[in-house]
Amino acid sequence: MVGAHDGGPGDGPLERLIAFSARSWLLTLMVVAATAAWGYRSLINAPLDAIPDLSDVQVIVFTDWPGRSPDLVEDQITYPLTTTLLAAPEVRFVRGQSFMGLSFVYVIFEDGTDIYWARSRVLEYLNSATPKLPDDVRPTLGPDATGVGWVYQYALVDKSGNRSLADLRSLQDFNLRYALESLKGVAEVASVGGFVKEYQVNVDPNKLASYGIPLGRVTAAVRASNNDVGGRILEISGHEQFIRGRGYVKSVADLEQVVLGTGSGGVPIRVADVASVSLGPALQRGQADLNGEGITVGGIVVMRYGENALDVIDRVKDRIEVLKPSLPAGVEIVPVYDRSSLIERAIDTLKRTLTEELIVVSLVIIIFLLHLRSALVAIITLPIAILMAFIPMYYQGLTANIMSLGGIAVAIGAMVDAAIAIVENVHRRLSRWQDGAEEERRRFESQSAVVIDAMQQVGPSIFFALLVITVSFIPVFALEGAEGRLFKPLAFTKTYSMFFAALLSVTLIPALVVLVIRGRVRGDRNLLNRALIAAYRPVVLFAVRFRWMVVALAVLAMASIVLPYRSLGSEFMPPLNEGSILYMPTALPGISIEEVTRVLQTMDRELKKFPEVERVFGKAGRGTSPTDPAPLSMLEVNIMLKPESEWRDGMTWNKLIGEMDTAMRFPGMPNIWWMPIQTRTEMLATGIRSTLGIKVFGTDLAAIERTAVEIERALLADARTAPYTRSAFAERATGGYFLDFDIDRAAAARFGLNVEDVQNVIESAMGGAMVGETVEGRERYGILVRYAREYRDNIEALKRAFVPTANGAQIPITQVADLEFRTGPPMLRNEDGNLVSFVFVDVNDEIGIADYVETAREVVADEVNIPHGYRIAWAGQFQYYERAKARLEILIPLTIFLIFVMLYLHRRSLVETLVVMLALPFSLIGSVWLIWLLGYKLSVAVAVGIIAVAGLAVELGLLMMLYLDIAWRGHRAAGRMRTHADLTDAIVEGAALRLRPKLMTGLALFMGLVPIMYSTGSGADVMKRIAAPMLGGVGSALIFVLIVFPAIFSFWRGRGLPVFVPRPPPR
Amino acid sequence: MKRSIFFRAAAAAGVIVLAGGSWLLLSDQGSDVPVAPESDMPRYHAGGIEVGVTIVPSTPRVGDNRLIVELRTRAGEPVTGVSIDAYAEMSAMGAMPPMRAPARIKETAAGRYTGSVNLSMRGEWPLTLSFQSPGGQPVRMQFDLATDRKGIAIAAGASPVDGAAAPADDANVITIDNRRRQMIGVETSEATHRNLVKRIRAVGEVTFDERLLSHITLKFDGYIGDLKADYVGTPVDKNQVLFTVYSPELLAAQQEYLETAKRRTNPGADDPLLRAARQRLLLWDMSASEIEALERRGVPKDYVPIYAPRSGTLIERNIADGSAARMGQTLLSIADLSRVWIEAEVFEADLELVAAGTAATVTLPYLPGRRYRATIEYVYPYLQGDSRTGRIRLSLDNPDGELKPGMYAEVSLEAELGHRLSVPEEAIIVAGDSRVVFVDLGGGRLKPVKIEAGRNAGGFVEVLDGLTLGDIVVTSGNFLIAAEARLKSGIDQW
Repeated sequence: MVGAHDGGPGDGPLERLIAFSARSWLLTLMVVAATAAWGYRSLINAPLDAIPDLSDVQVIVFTDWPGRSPDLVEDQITYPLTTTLLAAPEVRFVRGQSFMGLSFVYVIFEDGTDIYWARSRVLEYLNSATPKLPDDVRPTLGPDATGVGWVYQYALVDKSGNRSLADLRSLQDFNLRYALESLKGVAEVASVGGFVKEYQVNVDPNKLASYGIPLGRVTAAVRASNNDVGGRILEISGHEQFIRGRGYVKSVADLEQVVLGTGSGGVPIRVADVASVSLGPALQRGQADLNGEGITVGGIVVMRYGENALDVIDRVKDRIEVLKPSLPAGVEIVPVYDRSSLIERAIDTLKRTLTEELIVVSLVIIIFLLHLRSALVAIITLPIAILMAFIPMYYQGLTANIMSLGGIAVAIGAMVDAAIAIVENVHRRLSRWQDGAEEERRRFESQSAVVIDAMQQVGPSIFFALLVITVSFIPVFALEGAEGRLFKPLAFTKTYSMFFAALLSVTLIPALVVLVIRGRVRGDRNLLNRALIAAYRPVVLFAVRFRWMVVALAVLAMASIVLPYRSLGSEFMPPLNEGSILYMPTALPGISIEEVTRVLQTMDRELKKFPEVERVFGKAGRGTSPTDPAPLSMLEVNIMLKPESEWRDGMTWNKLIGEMDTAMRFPGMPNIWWMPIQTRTEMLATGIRSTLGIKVFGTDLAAIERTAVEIERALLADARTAPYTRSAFAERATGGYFLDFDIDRAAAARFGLNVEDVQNVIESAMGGAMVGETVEGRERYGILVRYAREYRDNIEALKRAFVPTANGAQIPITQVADLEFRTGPPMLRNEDGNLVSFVFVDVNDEIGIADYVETAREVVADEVNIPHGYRIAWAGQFQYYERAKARLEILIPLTIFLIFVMLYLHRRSLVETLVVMLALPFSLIGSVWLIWLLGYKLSVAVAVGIIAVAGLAVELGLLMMLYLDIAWRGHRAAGRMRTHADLTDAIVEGAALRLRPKLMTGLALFMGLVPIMYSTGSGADVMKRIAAPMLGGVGSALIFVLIVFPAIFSFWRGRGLPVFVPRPPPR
Repeated sequence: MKRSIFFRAAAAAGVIVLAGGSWLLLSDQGSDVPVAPESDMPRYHAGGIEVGVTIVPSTPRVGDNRLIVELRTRAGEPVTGVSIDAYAEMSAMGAMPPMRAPARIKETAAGRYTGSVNLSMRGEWPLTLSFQSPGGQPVRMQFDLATDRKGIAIAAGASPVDGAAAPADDANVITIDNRRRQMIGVETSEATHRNLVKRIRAVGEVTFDERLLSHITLKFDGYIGDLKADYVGTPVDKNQVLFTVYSPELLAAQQEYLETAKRRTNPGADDPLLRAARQRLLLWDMSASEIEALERRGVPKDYVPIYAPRSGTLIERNIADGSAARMGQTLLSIADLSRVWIEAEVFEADLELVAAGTAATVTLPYLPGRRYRATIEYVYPYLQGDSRTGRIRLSLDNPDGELKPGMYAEVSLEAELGHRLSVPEEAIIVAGDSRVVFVDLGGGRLKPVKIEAGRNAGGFVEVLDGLTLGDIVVTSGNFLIAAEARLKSGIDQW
């Protein structure tokens, strides 16, 4: 578009490319067609998802050690694991969490590490850690997926009422799960809720005591009664007979017959004599409910990292259809979360937006050119360039999602610029040639020669403009962490589509232009153009005449952005409306499963009452997936809504959430209304979430906490930091309730007991000993030996647990141990092998965060006595902000400087370059005001939009300056530059007469973004955040360029000219 | 002329644009703009003054929100120079640590304090406001605050000025309205005096009533003739012949008696020799009637019958027909099972609660559905050596013989603890060393109270301190109420 250079066509590489493409048009068309086909193939194979996966490269090591307290899990499992895994190569950090009976170790690798390579490293190091762990503990690698990969969830419903929850759970665990897990792209199918069947040997301690049998003998006997063996082969008449010893426990009766010993007179004492054996539910750390109707069994399909979510979901749905006939009568699979609809809607939104953009941009071109065939030439480049953009995307592994498609959407206006510039120039030159301008006639004999020359004239400028726009987007590539992962796809696709559009404009367009543009063209003197010029001319005159005022108003307008800017809020990521609600109330730690299940059902029932709600699926605690570390106190309720057409009149998304929020005010459970993907993404963040935090590392939790509290006090009290510290808050580890049996060694010794003898009772009598697994066909159920419920369900009963002494007597445990109730941490955090606790610090605006950290370091060093072997680290989001800020502080000025240098090299005039650069602040005016008007908050998305607008604004400014300059030079060469009036004439000519390319470019940019702003539906909100500053920026830049530039130009070129004399405008 | 028109038009346009811009700014919920009219600001009684609190925008949002606090005396005078500490906090979720958003509040006008809270995430951010009232009274107020929810509502620590309820300056009191109480299923119970009966489970065994047990022994050596009671379990009636015995010694004694009687000089008179011989027979367990029969017969019996000393059941038999029976050997045991003992073991710790007379219920696993009421008859005055348990004794009538000695019995002792102030067990929250109950103050207000708990008996717990008679305590839905209290009233630890 930066057309009309005045020298003759050069013979640079681009010029030669244009000429070559135009002459060998058939070859060009074939190459383009082949590439487009390749692009199409990439497009249909491109993995689809809603948003880019924001998770780190992480490997989860998950260990299950049922019944153990968090500190035990930490000491015995998490600590040895983290310290071993730390040494693995490419590991960024290792974080551990120890819960009741569960250990999670997250090994986070450097960005860009191959996940499978990382997993093998973890496996290697795990191997050497295994000997350090307790014998019965086996750490497992989590799936190659994250919580964000939860793409599909279902619940099992039994309409017949004949199946117990345990049956449904067995169906899920041993049938559905494997059927779905075998599908391509499915990393794991986790189960949640219902009851896991278990054989329970409920021992009556009193009977044991009266028979004089210690509990240990029961566990040993049961363990020894459950096996199948093989006895090789017996050969009978040439036939091999396999010898088997069948001894698997198959039923409750089998267990009841297990012999514990003989009583007087050789009477066998069987398990049935001292215990009742039953099938019961195993200990649950999670429960599920559907619609508040009662406990249900659910399944969670976890997608493998980097897979095509839509394909995976389709496969899952197909498989479920296949499975349906084989389900027991009355059992149904009810989907409760399905991401495919979101993905489809998001992709649809963008497809529709893209289509609308194409139409709008095409209309702009058609209206301005008033020549259908030429317009088609410009328009055809868009779909082809988009197709081609998918080629690198595909090979780079980028998924087609809101962000990557959004990159194309925001680029469309700019993509078409190159084509517009070329076609417009061809038109102008062609019409001049056809009109028989003498000079033109002399230079070119044939029409195609004119056309090629016209194209060569603008070709290099196109590349220059592309370069400016691309360079201006560099800061986006500098983003890292979650922002980087979110916005880089956008930056990539925007750059790709721009690149291919530019490439096409010097290859495909020349080929098409010589083919298509035949016959008479009307140039830029059509009716619309004339009307526009007629309207615009007085504006220019006005601007030149009242240039002081125009400039003053421009400055005022610029200053005005301070107002809205100050009131903009900020947010990390604009909300993506996922179309389904995840209600996530969280109780304090320590809630029991009965209580939480009861609350969950009430909640589901309340939510189901809303007429907009289709289905409610609630989950408390965790499913079986290692990607789900939710403690019991955390509820996640998936709310599937009916289509909006079935909602009550006047109901909106926000209003609905508002009503639900009012209805669901459960005491002690703060509400959070999020959306599934958003939640999973947030939950991945295991580190410090606030801006600044101090991590205190150490070995003893109490000492760590003491140190943390000391730091908190020091920061709040010391004169150096107090004025800047808004708050400092050390975590207090409470919320876990413990009942401790403190073993009195002396008392135990009197009975001849070791600590272990007492602990065995605690472990197996109260906790229960898992002594084996039954093998029943495909199904496997645990066998648990434990005191019967009434002997362990209250403190008084626990006090009476029997410890067998050396001489056979059984004494109550209180004789050798003291009972204490204590509180402590319900969960322990471990980072890089140390226990860690956080001090959250909030710093006010009066000091830079880096300065604050420096001062605070001194304060902590002076005033806090950090125990030997303990250390502190300064962490938090501020690290990213600092790094991003540091990068942007260099990159943004560098980018501006680069643009400046490029402009200068292009225009060779300092003043001109500076004036063109003025378009940047002008664009800011529109951006900021529009964001403010729309009520958006400052976010990275908005910042990306603002960055994107820079290149476009410069492009517009450059265009204006170019034509003004040409006109001025023309006038001066003709000797008509003696007075201000002459200057005004020149300005009017430059600004108004060459309005078409400027307006076309500007309007293409502008109108290309409008459909985004009008789009609704999933993903639209995110795109709007990016598009709004662009739209506002392009709009204001266009207006200011059209009005203010003539004024500035007249200042600049008017120096030394005689005083302004009003004179009627020419013509 | 033309120029000035242009100029004026342009100037006018500029003014309109600017004015329009500033109007837009002022009319919006933007943070520089302010404030609900004073009368709209909700006011509360706290610390002896009136506190007005409001937030702008009225529906808090993610990002900066402006918090406005006004302090004035009851008379309406502004209270100045107070330093207010305020913060909103999002509680921890799973592995995500809590987040705290502090508001640095400054006095911007007399009695008017403003600051801003930056909420970084959607969700609930309960707001805490604390300061020292001019009277030196610490005030701590709790508000419900959530993004996208209109307004802030008092949760604890103060009462609205126009509210009907009496001022409750206690920051620990939380308010939960009826609907929410129903949702979580709150139930209450009264703290009252109850007869506390503690059940103690003891393991016991059915044994013979030692007082109803007889051994059959011979005081001479002999040989068993005809054993009538010839199997263990034979029911025996008193004075029934159990067996006959031949004993040379007894035979000699009989003959001696007969000889003495024959040689008697003066029949009927008391002959010391005859008396001695008769006495010998009597001591050797021959009954008087048998001696008479012997006298009548005049011939000694080879096999002398031995009679059952009591009715009962033969429980031990060490002889058979023809066995030699040694002097002093227990030949047969007969127990009367119409009454049996239950001996049970009570652990050291429970011993102080039991005494003779304590009521008990006995059940036997082999006789499901049968319960026997009894009282402790005797507490043995010593402990069993190896298990250090005390032994108690009950006795039961056993007319049908259901209770068979050796049977294993479960004894549930009902130790009376007296008439004590008590609450149901479920009312008490155990948190480390503390025991906390929630007292329902009426009007939806609940207050956590630390109590001193005494003995635990029969589902009730004795309250030694902390509650008075008639207090209503929460017995169900405790966890959520406790959680609410900890979130809203800042009791960090109990």
